[in-house]
Amino acid sequence: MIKKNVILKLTDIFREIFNNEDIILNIKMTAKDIDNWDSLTHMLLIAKIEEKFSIKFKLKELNKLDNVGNLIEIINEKI
Amino acid sequence: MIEKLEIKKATEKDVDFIIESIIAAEKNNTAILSYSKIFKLNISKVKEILKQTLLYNIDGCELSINSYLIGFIENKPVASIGAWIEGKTGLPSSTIKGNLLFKSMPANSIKYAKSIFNITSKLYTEYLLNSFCIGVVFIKKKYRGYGIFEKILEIHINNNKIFERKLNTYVHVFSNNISAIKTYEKNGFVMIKELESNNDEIKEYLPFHKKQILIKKTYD
Repeated sequence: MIKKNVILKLTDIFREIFNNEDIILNIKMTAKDIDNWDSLTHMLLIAKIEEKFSIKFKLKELNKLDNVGNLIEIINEKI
Repeated sequence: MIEKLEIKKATEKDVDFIIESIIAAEKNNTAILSYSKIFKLNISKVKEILKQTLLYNIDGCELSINSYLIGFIENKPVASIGAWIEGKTGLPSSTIKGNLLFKSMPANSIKYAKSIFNITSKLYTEYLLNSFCIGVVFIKKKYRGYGIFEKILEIHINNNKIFERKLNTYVHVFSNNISAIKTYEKNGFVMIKELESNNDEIKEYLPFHKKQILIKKTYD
């Protein structure tokens, strides 16, 4: 899957989890840029990403994800 | 009482007391434990999950052993405060906590949390980056009113060099916890925001439908 498709799929996931159709992802985006990104929404987000991309994250990997760019990179490595 | 107080940084040996502290703080003097309600888990499973998350030993949130100072009287733990500098590890505490819970929580529980998310989302926890966050406070009933909270918080603030770093300190409190709010106000905290849910169903999942953010400014 090329990066563009990953971004499109990820955008759908973010819009669903944060219930906001206006979300446009960019690689520098972090939790502070999106309303309601707390521990619960974070869990739901990771669960949905694992489900939709059929991948599994290790805790070590999750704790390195400090922006959307890192998230896209690691998804690309795993698919 | 206060002269007998010994304050130590928490270690793995204190995990059970930290779990007791987290559960008491979450319940907020009610019978509602949000971890049980939101993830549909019984109390022993909640304790098991909290233990697992704490033993991962990842810093930077309320599920990190290193966030805690424990107050002992005659070698027995009687009080704890879990606090950390928000974002110091490079990630917000909400992300760290979410990661730890995600790796420890049964898939069905996450699915259940999603099904009720519209009810609970109005009172989401807002974290203030580059501030000192008080996440968990617990003083055993018998030991309240002796200044133990103030003493442990003072040591936390000194250990984390809050004044040198010019960091503000903040805390989230359910609005019905009047005694806690009064204690914070007495110690220089002021309310900066109140979140409220108008959804009646929220009372089934959280101890109260309103939550305040109180802040103590070290600098403007």
